[in-house]
Amino acid sequence: MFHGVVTATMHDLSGAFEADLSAGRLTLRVGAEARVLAVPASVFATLLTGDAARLAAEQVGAAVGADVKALLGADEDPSPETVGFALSAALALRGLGTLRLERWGDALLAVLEGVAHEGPAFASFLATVVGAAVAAVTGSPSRGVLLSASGAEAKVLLVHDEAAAAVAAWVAEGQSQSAVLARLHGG
Amino acid sequence: MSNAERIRKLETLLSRVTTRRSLPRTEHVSEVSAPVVTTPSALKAAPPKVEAPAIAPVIEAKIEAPAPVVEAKIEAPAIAPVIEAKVEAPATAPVVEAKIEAPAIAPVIEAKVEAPAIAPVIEAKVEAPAPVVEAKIEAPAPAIAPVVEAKIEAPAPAIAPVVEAKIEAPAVVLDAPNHERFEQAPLPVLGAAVAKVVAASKPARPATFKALVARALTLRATK
Repeated sequence: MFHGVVTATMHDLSGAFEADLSAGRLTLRVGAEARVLAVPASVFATLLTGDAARLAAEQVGAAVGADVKALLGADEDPSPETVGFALSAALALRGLGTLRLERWGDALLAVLEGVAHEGPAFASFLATVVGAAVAAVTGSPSRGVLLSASGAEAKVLLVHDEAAAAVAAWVAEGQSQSAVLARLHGG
Repeated sequence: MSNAERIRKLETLLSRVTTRRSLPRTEHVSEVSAPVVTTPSALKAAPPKVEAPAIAPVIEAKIEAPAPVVEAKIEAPAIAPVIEAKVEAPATAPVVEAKIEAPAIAPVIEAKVEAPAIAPVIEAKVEAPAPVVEAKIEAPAPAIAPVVEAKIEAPAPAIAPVVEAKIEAPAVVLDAPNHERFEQAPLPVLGAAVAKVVAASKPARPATFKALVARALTLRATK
């Protein structure tokens, strides 16, 4: 297996996560400093119900987006590769897995790997996180819709806020990824 | 390049790498039943490349070349995953400019350029700005068939994934009509028929992430 590298200059990730055992404190220091908790993913997943789950996901996504911006530094309009790497790094720092981007026609797909917990609730949580993070980074009305989740992988389609409900309905109907993508393109 | 030029190029190549006998082209190729090719000086031994300069996972990308391979490339310069992309020349076949390229952020799964016998393959290409699933260019058997400029290109007029597109050439393929959409192409190709599968238009890839997202958000659920 070969792994490529991103050559763009980014924020130094050393010291981005600190475990101060003497003070019983875990801290993220990428964007704004934030105290975090280490909670089993399976326990966290049980809390993901209703509007509270959506609100939590949006707040986590906004925080991830802020981290991405901090990682990107002064680069106002970076390349897809650079942002893809920063997004992946920001998610990884929070134990949310890693991310790669795929472009299918004009549609943008985020594929999450190493997802911490299997199950539709957690996968939907991640989809909202990614959509909110992209919205924060780009200032766009981006939403993440869960296309599929299998094992430790989840596929999230990034769509306009106004299209999200319809796309989610297609997925709920059991339409395949290719069918959803084709339909989104007007096919 | 005209057909005549292609044929001349091929014959020149064959004359260098096969036998010293002067025979009609078909017989001339048929004579190559043994691994006679070592490293003809006429073919530069350019080092094959496997490149993945972005954050793409590349799984089992292979360039195997007991035979001369000139400028064989597997490139994944964007954030595309490439799974089992292969350029193989396990027999005595020279492969000239065989390429598998994934210049966009599309996944390429099992794209292959294979020349498992004694067939020369010149400028065989699999190019994938769009998703390509199991695209293949094969020159299998009886393998005395030259393949000249066989191409599978999928620049994706829309989302246009290519699923199991194949160019198979047990016979001579020197020229082909240019199909606007791969769906219209009668594949696989047997004999002197279609050698090109070319999609209509190549979408410009936004240079920045914001532009990429902005483009994605133009898609609406209209139906």
